[in-house]
Amino acid sequence: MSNKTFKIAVLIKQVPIPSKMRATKEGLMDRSVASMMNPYCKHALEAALELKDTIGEEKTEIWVISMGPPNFEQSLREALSMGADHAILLSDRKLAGSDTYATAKALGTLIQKLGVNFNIVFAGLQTIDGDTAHVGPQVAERLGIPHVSYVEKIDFKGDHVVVRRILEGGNITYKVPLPALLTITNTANKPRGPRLKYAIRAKNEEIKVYSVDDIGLTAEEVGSAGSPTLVYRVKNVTHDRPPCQFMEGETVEDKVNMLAEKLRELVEASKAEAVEA
Amino acid sequence: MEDVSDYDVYVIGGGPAGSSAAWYLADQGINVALIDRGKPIGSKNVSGGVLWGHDLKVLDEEWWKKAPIERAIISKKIGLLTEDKAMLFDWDFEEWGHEPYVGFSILRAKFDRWLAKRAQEAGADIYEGIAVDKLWIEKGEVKGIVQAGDKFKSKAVIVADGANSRILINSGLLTKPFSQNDFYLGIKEVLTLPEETIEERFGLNSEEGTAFEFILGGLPKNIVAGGFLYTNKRSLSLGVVVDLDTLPLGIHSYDVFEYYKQHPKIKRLIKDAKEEEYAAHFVPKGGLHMMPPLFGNGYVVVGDAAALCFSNGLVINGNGPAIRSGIEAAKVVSEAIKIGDTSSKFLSKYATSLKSTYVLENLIRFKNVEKFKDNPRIYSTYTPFILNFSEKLLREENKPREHLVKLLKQELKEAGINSIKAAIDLSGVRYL
Ligand SMILES: Cc1cc2nc3c(=O)[nH]c(=O)nc-3n(C[C@H](O)[C@H](O)[C@H](O)COP(=O)(O)OP(=O)(O)OC[C@H]3O[C@@H](n4cnc5c(N)ncnc54)[C@H](O)[C@@H]3O)c2cc1C
Repeated sequence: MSNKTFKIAVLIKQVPIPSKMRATKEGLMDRSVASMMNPYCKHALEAALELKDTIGEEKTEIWVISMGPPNFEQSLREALSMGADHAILLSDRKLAGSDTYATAKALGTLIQKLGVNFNIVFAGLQTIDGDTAHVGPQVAERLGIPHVSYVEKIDFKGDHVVVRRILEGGNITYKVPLPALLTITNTANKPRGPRLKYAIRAKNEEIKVYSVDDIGLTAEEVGSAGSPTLVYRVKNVTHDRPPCQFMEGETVEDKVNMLAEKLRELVEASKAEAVEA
Repeated sequence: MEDVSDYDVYVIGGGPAGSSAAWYLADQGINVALIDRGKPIGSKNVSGGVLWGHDLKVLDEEWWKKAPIERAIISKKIGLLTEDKAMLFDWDFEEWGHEPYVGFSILRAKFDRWLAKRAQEAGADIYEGIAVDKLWIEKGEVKGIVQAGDKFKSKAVIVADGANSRILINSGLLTKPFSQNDFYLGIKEVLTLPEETIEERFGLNSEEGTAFEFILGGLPKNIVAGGFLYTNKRSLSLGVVVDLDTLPLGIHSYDVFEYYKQHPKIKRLIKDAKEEEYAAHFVPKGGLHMMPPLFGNGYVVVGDAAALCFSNGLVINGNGPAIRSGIEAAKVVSEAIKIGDTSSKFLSKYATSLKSTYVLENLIRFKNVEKFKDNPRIYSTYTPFILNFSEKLLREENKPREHLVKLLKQELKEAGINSIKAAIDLSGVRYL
């Protein structure tokens, strides 16, 4: 139906704005507060858009895929106004409480169900509300394709990509056959803003919503029931004000000396504490 | 993308001017898009302070009951400050505290979002986080707008992108380029303070607010600057407006802000308040000499982009003129679209109607006001003089005193003030 031969999927998630993040009584993330596209997912989308720029707009198609409550539409529309072509939302009460295993199962099944043979799948390295970095790699396993995480550079070579994966203190370069899944770091690129051309198109674009039934899974396979992870306890850590001390002094030198003095005190104090313990 | 025409009108900029225009047009059933580079709308806007007047009544008879206003201004204070002295004129106007109120303190981030939302509810499409490049001009006619290199056709464009309009600059629509000389720099901080503390400290009942303006005297080297302080519900808006042209090398606008903030008088007023937000923004000095053409084939210019902001040193009113010009422009544009004539000739009606409102009337009537308010001697010489003189006059040391006139003469001489020159300078008050 379309001659867009190169198909890209981007997995995106919506997260609470950090200052508004809090847990519900049940220990789950409160999703009713103001939210935004997960920053890492934005980098994943930017990687997809850059690839589209490389390969050519007429030949490439970007699908953004998300799982979450109906208000995730906000981030999907944002992705459309940045230049994605199609948006899919998997949304169902049955999905509530899914851990990374159940989430990856649902997303993997959805991608297969779509019947689009994606040449490449991008995901953010991690979310800022869950911080696990598990979902991308698990989806790759579900799809039976190779994956590389922590990717910060991608060179497109036709039937494969050459990617740079960052490590602590260095990096590794891989040659990866396609299709593959890559999770993208926040050092990879600078996400673009929306573009009016796409934003106008996005206003009228239909976002296709799938339910758990639609993808042929049962309530037992997803959500809390389908999640092997058990949450033992959730603790809300709060303090009124970040512990912040200002260094006072006439000159920069004074301030630096004072800072050094303070740090020395802290080190001594913690040593003393350790001895006591 | 050429020749796609999704909208009849594009409004560039979602400040008070642009949102009011979009709201009016949408009410008229015009297919309008409002585009702002901030996301959410208003997030880049320097939450000014006071919204004077009721220009919004045209759009909603009881707007202030629905808008996120902070406090109704019931008193006004105008003061002079030097390094360690302060003098304050203090007016209370009970009638300002009742309908039809005179002015309200507002926080722009909230207020602008509300105004844009009203435009949206009326039927305007809102695009946030998108900066428009310039107008699409062919053969002297504005055909639409250009964004990220793409062209978008429309019947008319309303330029509402604020002070130092990049849109007008990039589109080559200024007859005379703006210069730094044409703007003040406004710096402003929002400081949070409990509601009860504000009311106690400033002698206010709940919902009531006050507005201070100060002349900042005694700054080094003839710096021309003013300070303001407005009370919000749970915060204070504190800021300075600096004539950049008068800043000597090595002194920065934020130094002026610090000078103001560290003044003992101000320190007492903002005691214990916590800094929440800091922003800087241009304020057009306003005035006819810097006003760009207000209309042309297919476009009109409103608000700060058209330099319609009014200030005379005692009050700064840019929000009111922004809203009013937005509405006046929208009236003409909607008529133009309905009859199918968006030529410069037809759109000139906007300038004509603006002349019959306070917006242009004030700029014309007060065209010489800067001879007074931008006269450095007001700040560097007379303000310190008045404060020093009054200090001597009021100090009681149980010693023989001088008569007022003698003391005045002595002090003038000591301060090296030429009384003829001073008389001429101060007669500039007539421009106010
Ligand atoms: C510190 C300070 C204090 C002030 N105090 C007061 C006061 O107490 N009372 C008062 O009445 N006035 C005050 N003013 C003046 C008042 O803020 C302005 O006159 C008023 O905001 C003008 O409204 P506007 O809609 O024309 O422009 P703005 O409010 O500046 O809005 C312009 C909008 O255009 C958007 N924009 C800019 N470029 C683009 C682009 N290329 N594409 C898309 N969008 C774009 C911006 O994001 C912005 O939202 C103050 C100003 C300052 C700086």
